Amino acid sequence: MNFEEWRTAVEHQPDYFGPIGEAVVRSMPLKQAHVGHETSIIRRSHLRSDGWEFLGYGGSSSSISDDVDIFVGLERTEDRLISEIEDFRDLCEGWDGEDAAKPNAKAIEQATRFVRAAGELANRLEPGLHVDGSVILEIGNGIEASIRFIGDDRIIYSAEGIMPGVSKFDGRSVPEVIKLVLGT
Amino acid sequence: MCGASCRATFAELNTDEFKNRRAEHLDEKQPNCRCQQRSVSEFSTGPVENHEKLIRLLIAPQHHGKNGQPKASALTDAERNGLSVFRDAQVTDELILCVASGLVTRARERQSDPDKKAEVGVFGVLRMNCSTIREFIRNSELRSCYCVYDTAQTDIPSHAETFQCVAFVEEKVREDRRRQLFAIVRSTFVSVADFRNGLLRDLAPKG
Repeated sequence: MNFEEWRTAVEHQPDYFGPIGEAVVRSMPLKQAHVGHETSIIRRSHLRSDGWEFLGYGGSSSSISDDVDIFVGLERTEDRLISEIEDFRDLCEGWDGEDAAKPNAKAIEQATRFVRAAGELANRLEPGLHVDGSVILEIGNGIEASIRFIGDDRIIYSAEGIMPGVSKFDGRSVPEVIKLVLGT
Repeated sequence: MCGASCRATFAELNTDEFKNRRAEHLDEKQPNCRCQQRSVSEFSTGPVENHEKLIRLLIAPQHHGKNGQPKASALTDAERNGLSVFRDAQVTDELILCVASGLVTRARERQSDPDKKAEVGVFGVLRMNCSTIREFIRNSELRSCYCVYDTAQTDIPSHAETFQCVAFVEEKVREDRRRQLFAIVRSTFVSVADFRNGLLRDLAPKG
């Protein structure tokens, strides 16, 4: 199967919008499923002022059982975490029964971008909220480590055995110090 | 330092001017927990003693982990408006039930996703020693980081609060203090089923 055939096989609805206007689609070409492989196709486009500019396709594949039902889209490790963070948007002021602030939309967006960028590195994180509306991602119920997004392109971190600090976050890549915090 | 001055500071905290920054204003006006040994409320029976146990209700699903245990983020109120607690030896079952019902009702109302309302409820309490909070000093610091005050209210005479000393303190330090204090107090968690013979069982999350 060449890339042109793949193009017709994949869904074109973006799975998510990546940094700087990238729309990323990950889908499995249906024809490939029957031969015991699932293939992830990544279609990258860049949003220009005059519309979407197609950048190209990438792909990776892994073996699966022939018995598995055909599906479109791949569950990534971080998807559930992102979904839980996005759920914070449904909360109003007072979500703790007291005076907690409405979750900060910018903080939610940055935490989401962070998890996307971290991928597998994020698999031990659990989402939580500070009562001021900032988003906290915790490891070990917040005892081992916590990283906090207050919505200003910074990550505040605290972890066992590491001096607490603040790191800039560009929305795309995980800062080196945060990789240490995540235990890598 | 006289008691009247401390009470005046706490009276100020309850005005709109300091809403959502009570901890900061308190630490600016009365640094180093200096009102802690005095009664700051006319409705109180007296200052909170070091030997007292303090009960923190845990309600928000955002504050417990997938293992059902609380997370450090459950202590964040101490950095903003004050972490409300009951004085265990003074609070009655009836009052706990009444306050908890009000908190759960409000928290459920503030969740706009109807499916998620059921996840809101009392999942347990932290039953902490007052001395543990007051004596906590983070690595590399020289002073206590948290204070406890007898902020009794007319209808909740057993109400007290703990505040982190946050004035002129960087966010990273606040974060680290919370994480380290929680590592100490997490063992005081009591599940809703075990707390006061299941007093709050009907208010537990249904999800």
